[in-house]
Amino acid sequence: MAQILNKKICLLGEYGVGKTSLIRRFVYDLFSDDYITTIGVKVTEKLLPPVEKEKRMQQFRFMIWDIAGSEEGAIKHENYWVGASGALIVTDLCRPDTFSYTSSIIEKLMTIVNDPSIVIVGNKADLIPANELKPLETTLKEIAQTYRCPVLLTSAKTGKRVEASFNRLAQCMME
Amino acid sequence: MNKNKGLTGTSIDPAFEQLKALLLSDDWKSFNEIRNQVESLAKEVHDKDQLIEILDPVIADLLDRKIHESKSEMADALAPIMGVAIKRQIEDAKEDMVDALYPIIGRMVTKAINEAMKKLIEEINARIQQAANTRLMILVKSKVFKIQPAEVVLADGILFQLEELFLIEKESGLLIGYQSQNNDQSDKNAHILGGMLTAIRQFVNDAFAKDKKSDLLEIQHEDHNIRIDTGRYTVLAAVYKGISPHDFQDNLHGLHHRIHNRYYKRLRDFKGETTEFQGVSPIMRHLFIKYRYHGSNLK
Repeated sequence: MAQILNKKICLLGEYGVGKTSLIRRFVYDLFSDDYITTIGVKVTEKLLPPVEKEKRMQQFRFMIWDIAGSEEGAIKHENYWVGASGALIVTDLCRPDTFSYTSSIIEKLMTIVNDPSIVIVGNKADLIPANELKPLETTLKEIAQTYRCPVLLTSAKTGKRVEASFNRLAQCMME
Repeated sequence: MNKNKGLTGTSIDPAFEQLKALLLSDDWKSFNEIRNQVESLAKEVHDKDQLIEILDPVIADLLDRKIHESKSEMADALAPIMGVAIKRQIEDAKEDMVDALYPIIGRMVTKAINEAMKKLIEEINARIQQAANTRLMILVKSKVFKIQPAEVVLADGILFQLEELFLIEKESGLLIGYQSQNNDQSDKNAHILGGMLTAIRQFVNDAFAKDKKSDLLEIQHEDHNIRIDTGRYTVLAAVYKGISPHDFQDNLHGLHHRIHNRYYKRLRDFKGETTEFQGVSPIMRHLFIKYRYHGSNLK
């Protein structure tokens, strides 16, 4: 039987980047999304597939705090970041201006959480022509290089690479 | 023949001596002044009283500058001896310390008494109100449905019923222990409930008690209540129905304290691994056993 590791992770990013849509089909949900607009957060659960580490089976249970985003990089609700082990920083590939706030979110997160595991997600990849994806990914990778964190391009609509984002975050936590 | 001799025993020419006096007289004077000053300084440095007199005016300025430049460095430097210093000062000058602290302690005691009185009055009012409402409701239902008041009580299940206990890590909201009245030690929703309860606690604290060290104590929803006891590393939340017995808060706190005493080292280093807290549920079970005769459906 796998040893279960419970981890609090935050879903961060600007308003409208698709954070809530990104996870909707992939998590165990109990409450209405209204909580995000009222108290600024909703908690859902994601049990990842077991993985082997040092001849022991481990399984991550992510308690995902979907935290309301703000506009133009204004950081809000930082009190909900306390106690997190990692974060998915979500950006909108259709709005490259949302990339520029990634650094400030990560910098702020590092002041609240000691050595957080981070994955940068470029969402809405289904809306971008294939030949335009590469330069956008490169821009995100340049930001990610500073913090040595991976970048994944996802689609909330098709579900592409959403599971992979969680698995990659778990992998970062194990490293 | 010249009788003057130099240090090496050789004869010194008077003309040379005259020349030396002419050329070096000012330097000799300065040299003698410097030598006198050095001797005087050496004397002052070796004399403890004189040294204190010299340094006294600058020490305050030096400390003031250092504190201004780096408060944290000064705090780090002084922290290890602060406890000993305060203890010794209390031993040496008890009366002075009492005089200095009296205004603060007086205010603290007054505040604590006010808080306790306010809490007591609120509790008494709440209990009177609850009891009055309950009795009235029972009598009305008894008349309307033409049944005995005791039957109304049983039918409505207004008696105290402890349903669930959640032990949650204070900051992350991660569930460490769970116990239900049916002796379940896990529930598929318990982790999310623990997380949302933490989010609501943090929201309330942030919205209403930003600068105060206060905490959410209770959430009420119709016939369900959540009583919250906040500890150093964890939060113990009790979900119950009905009117809680007068000693429930104390027993909930006592249970939390027992868990803390047994697990505080592991709680301090908690990284999300809960298998080392398997002994928590049996401790939590004690509270259900204690209140089994208060109307719970303990199996």
